[in-house]
Parts: sequence; C-alpha cells; structure tokens
Amino acid sequence: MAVVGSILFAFYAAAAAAAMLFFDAPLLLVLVGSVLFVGVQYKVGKWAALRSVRAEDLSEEDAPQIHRQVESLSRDMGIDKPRLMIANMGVPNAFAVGRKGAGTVVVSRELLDVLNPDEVEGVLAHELAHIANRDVVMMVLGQGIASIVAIVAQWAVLFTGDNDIADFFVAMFVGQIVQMLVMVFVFAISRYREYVADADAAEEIGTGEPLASALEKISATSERQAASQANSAGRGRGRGRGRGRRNNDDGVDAKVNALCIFGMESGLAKLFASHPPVEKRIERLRNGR
Amino acid sequence: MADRELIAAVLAVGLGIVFILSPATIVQVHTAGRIPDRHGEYGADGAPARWLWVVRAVGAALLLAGIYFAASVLSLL
Repeated sequence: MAVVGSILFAFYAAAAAAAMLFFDAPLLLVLVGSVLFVGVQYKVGKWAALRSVRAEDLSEEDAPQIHRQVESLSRDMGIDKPRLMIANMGVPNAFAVGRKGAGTVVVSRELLDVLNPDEVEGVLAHELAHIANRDVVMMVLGQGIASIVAIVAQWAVLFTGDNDIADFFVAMFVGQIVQMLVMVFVFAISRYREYVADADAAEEIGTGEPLASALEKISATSERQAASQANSAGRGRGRGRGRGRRNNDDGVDAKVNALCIFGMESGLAKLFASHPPVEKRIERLRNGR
Repeated sequence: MADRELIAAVLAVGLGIVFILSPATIVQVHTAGRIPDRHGEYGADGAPARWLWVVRAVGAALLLAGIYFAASVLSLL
C-alpha cells in the first residue's frame, strides 16, 4: 500500500509542478488551492450524502440497542460516538461519512429488517472502523487528487494547442482518461482499507462471524431480488407508468448487469471496484485473517 | 492540427466504447469519495439504471464526435 500511496503522491506532485510551470503559480498558492479544493469536496460530499438518502436521526428511544452497541464500540475504538441516522435506501446498506470526532453512520431500514442484532453490530463495527481509520477522508483525498491531476492535464493540453475545436475535445478526453487512471490506484487503496476495516471490526467484536454472516445474508437476499425482478420485468412489459415501470427498469438493469458478468464490464468493474469481492471478505473473516 | 484531430478521433471512439460497454465504471469513477454508494447492496458497488443510460448516451455522442474528427482527418467534411 505504501507503493500505491507513493504513486498517488507522485501524480499529485507532477500535477502541482505542471500547474506551477504552465500558470506560473507559486507553490504556496498551489498547496492552498489543493487543500481548499479537497476541503470543499469533503464538506459538500458529506452534506450531499445525507441529503441524497433523506437520512433522519435515529433516536435512542427508537433504537436503544443500536445506540448501546455504537457507544460501546466507539469507546473501544477510541473515537467519539458518531451521529446515527436511518434512511430508506431500497436495499440493505450502511455507510459512514465524516471524520473522527465528527462522524455520521447511516443505516438503511432494509438492513435492520434483514439482519439480526449481532449481524447489525458487525456492520456497525465495520463502519466505525472506517471512521477510526480515516478511510472516508482518504477516499475524498484520493478523488480530490484524481480531479486535480485531471484538471491540470486538461489545461496542459489546451495550453499547448491552437484553441481549435479538436483541442477542446482532446483536453476533455485526456482529463477523463487521466482521472480514470489515477482512480485505479485510489480504488486499490479502498479495497485494501475494506479488508482492514473488516479485520478491525472482527477484533473489536472478538469474532468475524457476525459480519461474515451479514455479508452472506445481504448477498443472498440481493441475488434473490435481482432474479425475481428480472423475471417480473419479463412478464410486466407494457404495463405503463408508475410502480410497474420502476420495477421494469430495475429488472432490465438486473438483466443488463447479468449480461455484463463476462467481458468488459466484469474486467473493468474489478479494476474500479471500491470493495473486494464479498466471497473473499467472508472467507477472510471466517478464517480470522 | 491534423495530429490533434487524429488524437481526438481515436480517444473519442475509445472512450465512447468504454462509456457504452461499461457505464457503471464511469459512474463509479466520478462518484467514489464524493457520494456514498447507496444503490448497490452493502459491500458492493451499484448505480441506478437512469444514470447508466445517461452514460451510455454520452458514449454514443462520443462515438459520433470520433466519427466527425476521423472524417475531418480524412478530409471528408
């Protein structure tokens, strides 16, 4: 991971040097600009994340056991108890935003419906480990570096061209490709941090079984839902607008995804996946690695 | 600047193919670290069907742009 982190830093250093060269910008301005850029992404990202799922506060009266679990885990991990929120996400899911001392954990109602209390504790421990390990900040930083390098690459192309239409398009394409290239390294770090968060969660709880069981249950539920949606999409074509149409869309999506298991989608999806394969995580959690 | 037009044609076609065949990858690249993944199930990545179709549409536009630049290079336009 040190190598991948060094490569990311090298990308940023190259972009900063190029910005200084092309725009004649002083180092201090480049550094302050970078920090501001990433800082704004962090603040806006946290706000947008909670707003996009319409998350509501999960009160202690509504979920006393979850609050007790989070309090205990936070104490053991040496972090402040994060804000707990709940949302309807349509699927069993949970995520953490923010940093140590200002973290928020959001769980979906669907997750609480599917999992038993021990499995919920496994998921919460994993999300708290992300906050304790500053993984959320790391992903924002990684995306920030990718964006900065892409913007500098775009301007470098524009500065060396004749400002005709082809230059604008080449700049756009180069920016896109450069961002994808840098994100390959960010996703490699992200997958590694997922294993670390799994291991930390297992260590805090004393066993990896609850999280492994949660992942297994969610994965099985999701596969069943995808299969039933694909089947109902086949039967429900032409039913019109509204809920039937939404189910149809989801079903078509499931079919398209199923078609993409092999070939380009599969190969690129592995390279750009933020999480390792669920089966590998379950295996590691059960083998205590 | 025929060189730039040739590069634009090649990159546009290449990116267009990626956008059309692997739209979830493009969504993932632009949303990671910005918004949490709330469309896939827990522990996996996902993207809503509408976003994937928008990316595919952009991919089709990129292919058209690639064809335009290729035709310009070959002086067909």
